[in-house]
Amino acid sequence: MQNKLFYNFLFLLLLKHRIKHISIFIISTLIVFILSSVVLLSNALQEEINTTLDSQADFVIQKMRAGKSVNTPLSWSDEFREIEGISQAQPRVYGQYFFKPNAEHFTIVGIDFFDEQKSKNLQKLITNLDMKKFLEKPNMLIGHGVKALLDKYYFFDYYVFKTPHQKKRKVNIYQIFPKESSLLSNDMIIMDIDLAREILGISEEQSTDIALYNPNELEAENIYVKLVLKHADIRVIQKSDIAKAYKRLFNYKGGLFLILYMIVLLTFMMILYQRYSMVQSSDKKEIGILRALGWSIKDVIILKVTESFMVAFGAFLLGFILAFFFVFVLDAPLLSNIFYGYANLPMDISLHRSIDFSLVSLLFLFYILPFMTAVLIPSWKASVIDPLEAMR
Amino acid sequence: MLKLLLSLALLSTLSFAQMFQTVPAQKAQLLQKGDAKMYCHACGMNLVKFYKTSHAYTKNGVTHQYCSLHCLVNENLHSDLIDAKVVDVSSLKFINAHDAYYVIGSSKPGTMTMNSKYAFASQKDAKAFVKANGGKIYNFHEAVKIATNDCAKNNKMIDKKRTMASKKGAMMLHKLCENKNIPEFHSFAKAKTYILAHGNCGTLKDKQAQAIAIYLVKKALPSQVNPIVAPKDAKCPVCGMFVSKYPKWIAKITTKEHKEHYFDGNGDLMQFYFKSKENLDKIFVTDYYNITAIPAKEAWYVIGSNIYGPMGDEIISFASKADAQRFNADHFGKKVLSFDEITEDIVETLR
Ligand SMILES: [Zn+2]
Ligand SMILES: [Zn+2]
Repeated sequence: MQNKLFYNFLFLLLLKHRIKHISIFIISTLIVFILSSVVLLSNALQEEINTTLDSQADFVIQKMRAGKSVNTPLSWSDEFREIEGISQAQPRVYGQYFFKPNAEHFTIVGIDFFDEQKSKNLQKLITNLDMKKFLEKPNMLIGHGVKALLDKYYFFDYYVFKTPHQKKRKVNIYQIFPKESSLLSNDMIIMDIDLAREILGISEEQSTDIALYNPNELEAENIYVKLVLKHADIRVIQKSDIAKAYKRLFNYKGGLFLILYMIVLLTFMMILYQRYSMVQSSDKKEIGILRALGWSIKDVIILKVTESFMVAFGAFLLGFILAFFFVFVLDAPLLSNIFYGYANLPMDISLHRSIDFSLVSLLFLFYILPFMTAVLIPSWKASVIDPLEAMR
Repeated sequence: MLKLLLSLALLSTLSFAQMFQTVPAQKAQLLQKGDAKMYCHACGMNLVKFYKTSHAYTKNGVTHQYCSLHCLVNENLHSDLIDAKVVDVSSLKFINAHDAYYVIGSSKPGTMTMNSKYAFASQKDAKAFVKANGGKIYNFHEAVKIATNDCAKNNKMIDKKRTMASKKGAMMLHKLCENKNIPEFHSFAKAKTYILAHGNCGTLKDKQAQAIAIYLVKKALPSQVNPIVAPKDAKCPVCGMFVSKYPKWIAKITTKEHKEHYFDGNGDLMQFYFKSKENLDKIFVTDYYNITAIPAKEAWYVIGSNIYGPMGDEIISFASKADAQRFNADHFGKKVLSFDEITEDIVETLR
């Protein structure tokens, strides 16, 4: 069989059956788009959770009174530093500030700007900051939500906070978080830790909680026991607790999506099979003529497979590109809500554009195999019929 | 209800007051001379801020002032401390330390220690303080003994704090100070005085100047805070496993010919050490608690614990004997050994 003839014929076939192909192309693109969006999104989320967890403290310590967490004495962090295996004890200062005019809460986060920042987004924010200028006067960095609210009350350049002792504290707006750093949430205000102490009314000898770091996780359990025994009114939150909470949520949703996958894939196969098994009389005629012209069954099948493969591959490419755009450029509206919309975990999402190629090939395989099977069987059926009978 | 609110308000004002040790600057007596007289001679901390725990000591006609009994004792470990003075918390005046009543272990915060120590001229004041804040009364001689005993523990805590502060100090120096040619220092107080006078750092808070001083002094000391890093393709010569997968367990031998061997545990390292015919030069093991490199011959080891390495039973290494003993107790270890005490037989029984 001459190659030129084959391609010529292939092209003619594609053109002739364009209506059928176009409808299949559209369905396939849609299916690929849905599947890859879910896969890309869940993959990116998993990655995000992992990096979020990486930057978490190994233990967070709170002091409890009457079932509520209260300010933790700074002397505790000295005590914890004595425990073998704890490399760092970092007192943290943050809390809610009630914005009276609008009856809303801001989250004030006090940061020691010279401390090693564990959060990547904070690191990014701080590297571009002129610290000398920032720390010279009372300054703050605010989220877009805060900015909008302050604008509403004509505070364009500064806001006057009231400390718990009714003292007024004027703080200048130094900068608004860049939009893409969704991690730093909208209602957040970042300022120097000492200033935050003053506004939140947390004394120099106290902190909101204490973050502890332990380089060797083999020692974590042992440290946990030692911590719990240190004080009667202590609450110890382990990193593994947070990890478990995330995982539980994710596994549950992952399972849900696996079932959805199956359903979508099955439906897809059924549609395809139906479309291709309706081998019309003209199709039969084609195959019959080709067979009569001396094409072997193998040649006919190759032709048919190539024909539908081109449709399938084109649909895959388009669907995948659309999904990529949807997830990483548009940040997966609607779909992302299913994944973390009603989760009560502080999940701050900024999706990183990463593609796992093994995953993409797996996706491709799972899509193309059922597709080709659905094509192969009916065309093989048609091609084995006696050519004379087919042409009749 | 109103009463409750009022008392709450009062409580919060109290809690917002400055640190207990701090006094107004005009009330603080500075007995030492020179540019750095504001700072503790040993640690460089602000003497006004830590005035109520302040001590002074005159030796060979020179007076040094310290922020705490710890700093005084730590810097003069084998001295008689005859001419020592301490601040009386009631009058805020210096008195002879040998006549003072020390309240130790009260609920008020300590300076450079978890075990707080405050001195009083009158026994009555000391007793009243104990009644309000707990603790027990001792004389100077006993207090020095307690402080000496606490030294190792305090120094460990202080060192952890300084490691953190030093990192911050490095960043502050980089971000805030324009003077980039800063000489080397061995005294915190001198480094602090210098940076405040000649650092061109804008208005530094005391805490910040302290952190920079710690960095400047620490920079001059050799440090071993980095982990051993094995190349990705390095295989353990004893068992053939890839080493970089087990950062917690890496050990390393460098031969005199600069050849490097990496091991996935001290057990394999020791086997190699006893059998090898190469000219071994430097040996490093990993500290269990901090995952940092430590010289093998200075390290301490625990065998028979309930912590297992990638190859099962392990010889686990520590930077200090105290750490090894602590681990031995926590993890049901059999023995704490120095490098020389590890024999071929012990290594054999691990296999
Ligand atoms: Zn001192
Ligand atoms: Zn090995």
